[in-house]
Amino acid sequence: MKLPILWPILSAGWWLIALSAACVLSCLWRARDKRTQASSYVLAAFPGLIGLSALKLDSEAKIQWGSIPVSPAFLLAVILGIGGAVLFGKFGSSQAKSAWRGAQRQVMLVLGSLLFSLPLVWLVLTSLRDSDELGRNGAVVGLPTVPVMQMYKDPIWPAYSVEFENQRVRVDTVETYPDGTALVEVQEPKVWLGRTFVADRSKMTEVPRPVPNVRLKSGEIGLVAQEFPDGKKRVVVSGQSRMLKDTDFTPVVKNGFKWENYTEVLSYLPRATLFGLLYLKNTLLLGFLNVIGTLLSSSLVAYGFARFQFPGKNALFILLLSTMMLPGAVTLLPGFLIFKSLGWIDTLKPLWVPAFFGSAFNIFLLRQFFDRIPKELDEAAEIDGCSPVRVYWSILLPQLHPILITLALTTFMGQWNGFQGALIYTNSVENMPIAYGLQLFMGDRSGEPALLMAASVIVLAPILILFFATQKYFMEKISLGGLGGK
Amino acid sequence: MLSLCALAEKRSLLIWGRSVGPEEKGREAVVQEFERRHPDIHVNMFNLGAGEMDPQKLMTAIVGKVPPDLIYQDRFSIADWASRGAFLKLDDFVKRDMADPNSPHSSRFYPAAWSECQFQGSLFAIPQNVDDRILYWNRAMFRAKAKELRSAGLDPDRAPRTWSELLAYSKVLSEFNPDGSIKVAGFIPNFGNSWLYLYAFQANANFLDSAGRNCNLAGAEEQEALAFMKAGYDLLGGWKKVQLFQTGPQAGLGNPFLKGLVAMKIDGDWTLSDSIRFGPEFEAGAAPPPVPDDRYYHRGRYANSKDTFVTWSGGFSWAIPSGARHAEDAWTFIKWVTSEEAVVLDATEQRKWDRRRGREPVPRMSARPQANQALYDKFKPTNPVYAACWKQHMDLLPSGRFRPSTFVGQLLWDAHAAAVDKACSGELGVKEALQEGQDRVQRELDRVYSRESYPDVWPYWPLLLTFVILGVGGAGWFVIWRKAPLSAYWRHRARSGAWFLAPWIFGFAVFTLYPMVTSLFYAFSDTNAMNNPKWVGMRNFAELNGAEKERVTHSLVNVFTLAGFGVPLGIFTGLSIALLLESKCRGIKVYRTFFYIPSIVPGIASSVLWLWLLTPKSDQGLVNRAWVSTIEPWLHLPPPAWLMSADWAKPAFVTMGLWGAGGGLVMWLAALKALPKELYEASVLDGAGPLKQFWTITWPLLSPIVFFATTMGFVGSLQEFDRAYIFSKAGAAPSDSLLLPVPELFNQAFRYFNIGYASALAWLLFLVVLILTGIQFLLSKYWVVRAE
Repeated sequence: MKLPILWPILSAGWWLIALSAACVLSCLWRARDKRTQASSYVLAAFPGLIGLSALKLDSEAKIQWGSIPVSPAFLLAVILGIGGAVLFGKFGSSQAKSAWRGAQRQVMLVLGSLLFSLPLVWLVLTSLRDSDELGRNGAVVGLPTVPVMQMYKDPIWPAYSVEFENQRVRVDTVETYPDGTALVEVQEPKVWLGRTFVADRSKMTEVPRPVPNVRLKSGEIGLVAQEFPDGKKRVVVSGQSRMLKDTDFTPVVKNGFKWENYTEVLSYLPRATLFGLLYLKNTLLLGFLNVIGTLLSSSLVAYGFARFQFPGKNALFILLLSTMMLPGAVTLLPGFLIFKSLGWIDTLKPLWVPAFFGSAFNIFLLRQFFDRIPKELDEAAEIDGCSPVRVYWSILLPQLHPILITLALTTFMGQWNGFQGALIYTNSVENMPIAYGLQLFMGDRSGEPALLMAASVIVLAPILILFFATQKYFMEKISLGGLGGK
Repeated sequence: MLSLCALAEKRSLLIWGRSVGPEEKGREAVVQEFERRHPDIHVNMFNLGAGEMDPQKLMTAIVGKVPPDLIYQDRFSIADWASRGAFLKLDDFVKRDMADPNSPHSSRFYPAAWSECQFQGSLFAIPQNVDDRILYWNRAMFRAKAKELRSAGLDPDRAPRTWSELLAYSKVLSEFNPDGSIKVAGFIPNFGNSWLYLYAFQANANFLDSAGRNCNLAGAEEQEALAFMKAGYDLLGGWKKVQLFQTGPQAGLGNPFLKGLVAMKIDGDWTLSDSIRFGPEFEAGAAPPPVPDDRYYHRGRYANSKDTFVTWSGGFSWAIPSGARHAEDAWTFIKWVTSEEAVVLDATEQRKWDRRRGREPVPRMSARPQANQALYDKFKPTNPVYAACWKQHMDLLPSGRFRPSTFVGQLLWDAHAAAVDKACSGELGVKEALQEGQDRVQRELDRVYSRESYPDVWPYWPLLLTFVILGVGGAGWFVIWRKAPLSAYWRHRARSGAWFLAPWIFGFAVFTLYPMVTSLFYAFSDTNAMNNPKWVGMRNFAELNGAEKERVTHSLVNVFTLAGFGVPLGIFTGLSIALLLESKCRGIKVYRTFFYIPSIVPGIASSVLWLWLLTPKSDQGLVNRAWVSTIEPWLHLPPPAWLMSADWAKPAFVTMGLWGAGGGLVMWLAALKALPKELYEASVLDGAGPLKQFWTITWPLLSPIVFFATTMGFVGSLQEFDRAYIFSKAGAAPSDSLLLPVPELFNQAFRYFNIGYASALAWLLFLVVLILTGIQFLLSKYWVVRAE
């Protein structure tokens, strides 16, 4: 049985106008006072105006039929279920009603959290797939399959390990020369994939290389030991080599995860980054300096605003608040020119030095928290002979530690995700933070979703761990809620 | 140990724009040989981004005085970079090493290649390779139609030599389907690679006057060339029909020329390798591109033209950025890499490698005639047909013409392409279309050259002004401080309090006030950070409202659309989740985590994720996979291309933003928690349902927070950068559908260092933010409930 559906096809402009009309109508219908009416107009104005501006008069509108295939039994069950539940909710006892509401809520919560976590689940799953498999089978959902690989020492075409630029690399031989050397081509690490150089054969040690397992038409299992430019492959079956075509065998796959994606991502990174460790170091350094800088300076300034009376204080505070409205775009370019004249381009300094001069939002926030601590506390300390600095450091700051931790976490995460500054100020890999590294990697391997997802997971994982470890401080922000912390 | 020391002492030569991939064995060999001959230099071919050099990074690095030592660039853009002072002049190097036969010198290169590297009389780059265009013709097709050709008075055994011959051949060779569509095209004017440039060069056009100040795009020569192109299209039934032919089902079959669907084409030498690979049996004929009849017979205005045939030639070259730390080493590298020996070594090693892979591509032609001859002797294709093609390409090089060396090169390109479209489709006449393009280019030329007419301005005004403002502010503060009736103790306390503000006051002066003053100053001036600023008054703002108006409006409309939908929907989503989570049911913390986590995913990571979630390919993207198995069969709607289409990019962008709407959760939960419980209890007694409760209690009491969230949300959305930048890098969001103000500003600022214009744009954005916030405050009177 097919459930027929009828629906109109309209251009976007018409949809928007319909949406705004629906907004107005529903609010007017519900409205009890002028205020609600006014808000409905405000609400409707945006889609309405945009719809009008986007409206193309020649756009066609039509009615289209469609159908959803459902079995009659399923349809009946759904109708009965929903109808019964609604009746139950409407006419049941008050207990039943609240139970019904609770159930509704639970269902919505489950569906909602599924919807919100689906992209991340997909991210992790895709990062463990084989890029080839993804393109070949359209295996977007379901269990991943990976080709079965095996480490194999091929006697005919051996792989070697040899020193290259102070690191052991795995190479294939391209040509051997009579003088005891050989032209070799790098296979691992991937960042040097395809680099050729001449190596001393006496310094090369034979190592196994990973080869895929295949199933021949006869049912035998073999290994693809070597591929040739003409498409032929040398397959080793129980110790015997055979030259075969692609059609003669099928790859052996198994359900499983391709953890190698993660190591592969790291081996694609430029050597200078030490498998991405340098990115991590830069980001951690930046995070550390920014956290220290912003906490120290912001709390110091907030303390000044909160605990001292001096002429012009309010004017300065208003100035501070008004800088929050200034778009970063205005100071972006002059900022670059300042750092350029200091010779700080392609260093990390532009990314952390400003943090040591306070940030308006944090000062504002911390001032509120200083205000909540009773003044008697520092007055008593002062009578005992504490200097203002001592009061700030030993008496007030310890009281603030929850909010300071929260601020530290948000600052650190902001730094971890920060991208624009790095894009402007850093050029060499040695100075790049992790977010920029990810963007460059994305440009480099744009066609390989599995690797991109693995790289994303690598960038994401630490921040998720940090989040889980410090979750209660995130929710601490609840107490800032009234102030509108994001 | 010894090798380690040597490594430490090596100077590193940093090269951008030419990476060495696993397939480029020739390049690798050339670099290795260079390092062997110069053991003190280590070549570092660092690849920034997607295999191609990012112009924004290069310009930022040059202005920031940390440039690479050497870059590899399309010659076409050399003048643009040179005009901005980005490259070193190489004349002194050339002169110094003139005696060395390997050293680059004008006498050792093709004139077209060498001249294209010059800008305003100085040399800014050394050419590496060249390309040019010739006429390819399908001998078999000519033979098959020999009778028809002969009866039209045409020789089936040779290619056309003049424009009118070309059209006559095309007429005979073209075939049409019964429905009038093209079956076989004789000749399509802009099919391979000719554009208007080639035909215009043949007509002796020069696009710009010799000083480079006036654009002649609508000159008689260019008109003649475009009229010829139009005639070529009209002969096939018009532009539209040809477009259909080129994009129709037969377009998917592979190279239409090799398949015999196009009888003649004008194309570059870079297509030879593919032809040899995919059409080994193909009978390709090669001939110089046909020229205007008068040119061929040397009459009329061509009576004194030296070359009968001309071609259009381009290619790549090496340039040393201004401020390069190892300019001398860079020059040494240039000398080596452009030498005949290196060119031959490159081709030899590449050939070895390709042979192992069963391929035999043709090496790219060198910019040195001598090296080219050596390449030809050594690497000419074994198939004589293709050897003749390559020979033809090489023989034409000395009469190559090149696009004018000008900083408006890209604009000229865009303008001419638009003119070709408009004229050939009949939308505008030939003259009108060219005139429109010419006006566009001329405006830019006038703008740049008008720079000289503006007065120089002292660059330290902003600094002085900042000090004045600080001085005035400080003095004012001092005065009120003096006047304040404070006792000695309070005065002392006040002083120490003020000291606590010092970090912020210093930071404000350096990182806010001074940049603001600078930005305002630059909004009225013209500079690129490498030359002295000129005072241009309101010109930058006039530009916002003039030449750039369309783009600016477009970006603002885009950002308003995104914010107009994104912010209310975000609030709606955040608030709905908060309402759901408000209750105390089991596992609420787990749910809360689920909703919150997406908001802490780094922007870059979530952009990567969504690019693939929403990829149009239903076999790879989750969303379209779901779409093709549900909505498509149910509603007969094909899946949208999301970020890859202009219509769906914005909805996709908003959806992606909604995913992170949980970030506001903390705020909403706190706000809900603060609502007075008594009101709800009372309303329950009145018999109010949950919906009514929401509208009469929750919403009015939450309205200040909603107001706050809307205002901040709008301010934030207007400054959207990361995602838009990444999507445009990934080639998503076509036809500027996600053109937003801040990425646009970023480009103007850090790619072109159009500092004046970028600053004006920044202030416009600031103004928009202020006005919008003001409007929201005004409107808030009507819907925000203030506590009384």
